[in-house]
Amino acid sequence: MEQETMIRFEHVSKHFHSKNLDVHAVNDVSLEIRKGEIFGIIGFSGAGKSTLVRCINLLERPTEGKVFFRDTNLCEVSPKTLREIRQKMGMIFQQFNLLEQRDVKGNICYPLEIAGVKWADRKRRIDELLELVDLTDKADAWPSQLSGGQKQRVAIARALATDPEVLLCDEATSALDPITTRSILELLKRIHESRGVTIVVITHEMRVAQQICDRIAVMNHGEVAEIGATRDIFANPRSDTAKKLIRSDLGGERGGGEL
Amino acid sequence: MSQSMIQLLWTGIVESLYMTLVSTLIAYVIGIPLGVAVYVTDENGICRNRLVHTVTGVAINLVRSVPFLILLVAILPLTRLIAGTTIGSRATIVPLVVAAAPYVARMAESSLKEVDAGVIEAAQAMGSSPLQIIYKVLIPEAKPSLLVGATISIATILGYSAMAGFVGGGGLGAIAINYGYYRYDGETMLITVALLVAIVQLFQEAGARLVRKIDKRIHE
Repeated sequence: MEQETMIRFEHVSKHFHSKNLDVHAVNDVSLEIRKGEIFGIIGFSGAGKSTLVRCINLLERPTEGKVFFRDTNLCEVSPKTLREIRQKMGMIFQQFNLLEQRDVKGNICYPLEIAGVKWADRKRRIDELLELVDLTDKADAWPSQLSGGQKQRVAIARALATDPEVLLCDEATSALDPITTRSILELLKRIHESRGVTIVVITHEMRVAQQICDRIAVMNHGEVAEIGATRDIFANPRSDTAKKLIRSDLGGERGGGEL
Repeated sequence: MSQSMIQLLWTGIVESLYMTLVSTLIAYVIGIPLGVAVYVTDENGICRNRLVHTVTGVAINLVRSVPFLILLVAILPLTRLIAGTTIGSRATIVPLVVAAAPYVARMAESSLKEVDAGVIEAAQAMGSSPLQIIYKVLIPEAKPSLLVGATISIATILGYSAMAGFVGGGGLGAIAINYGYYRYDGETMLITVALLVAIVQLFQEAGARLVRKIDKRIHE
């Protein structure tokens, strides 16, 4: 495993203020995500995972602390530079977030348009990506005609269109059934192996983390409860949250999985 | 019905359509950017800007809260300045646009609000600039809803244009008022009303068909 750092958080906090409520979604988190690894951020709902991953590409601007992409402190760059850096970070979501009024190839084309890729190259790139996610026959389909798994494949192709160095997955399999989840995770693994892209996986399912993550950070109440190699945490969970997450997931399996 | 009456009604239809369509077009040219401005400068918008949001919002509400017939009379000097006259269908376009643009802006704003926040977030995550989000995400994704809004706007503007008949505007409204109201000619009144209803129906149906055709979400 290479030790080069891709993303580094230094004392990152994100607080939301509303009328009479102060929510500390992320509280003084420091961590490093290494180049080329699959890093998991796990925790129960409301643990601050999604806020934390949004701090990586600054969809959420941290209230305090610094976020580094390689050696660049993202909190200090200009909006233009930030947009350029975002093109190096693909992102996929629980709800897929495809453009409903564009067909499959149009969706994959979008980031290429944003990046100013030439017309002639777009077509070739789209074909490659469709093949990668095994959706060549769906190039002209509309998102509303696709299943959840297919939509997520389109989203993955779209996220990879500009050849990003990092792929952020925010609960990417949480809206999918177990079989589709497995196939999406296998696709992510394959992409990881063939392209060496660094992947950050947010999930509340221990099984997902177990299946693909090299290292994981366990989050609870906006703080990192535990961080380490996936197999170490599974073999010997030190934090209560990790223990509970492992137990709840096993319970789910015994109960026959999601119905 | 006399030949001259048919001729009159025909001219009325043409004038009404002319006023309505030209006003709608100009109202959209002004209203869409206004609606986008209000929407994107909102607290949760992609270009949060309290000042712009408040100023445009207040301006829109101000004009929107003046009843059309009052507005029509109140801005007569402006109408004369722009159109050179205050009577006829060409002059009516000025107050129609003034009344319709803020209406269109609110319509556009509510259409844009229907666009899934997740899709906008995804566009931001891909490094889109605010302008790219407006042109490539917000407007295309809201297009079906914007079109539904347009058919409603056309019906409203057609109604406004008929009111303008009271103060010297042209079209079917003027005929209804001059013949039906001042001369107690019930038949002509009825015919103009029927024509207005038919025109609204026509636009509504055409709009609905167009929306069905372009909306890719109901594409089974």
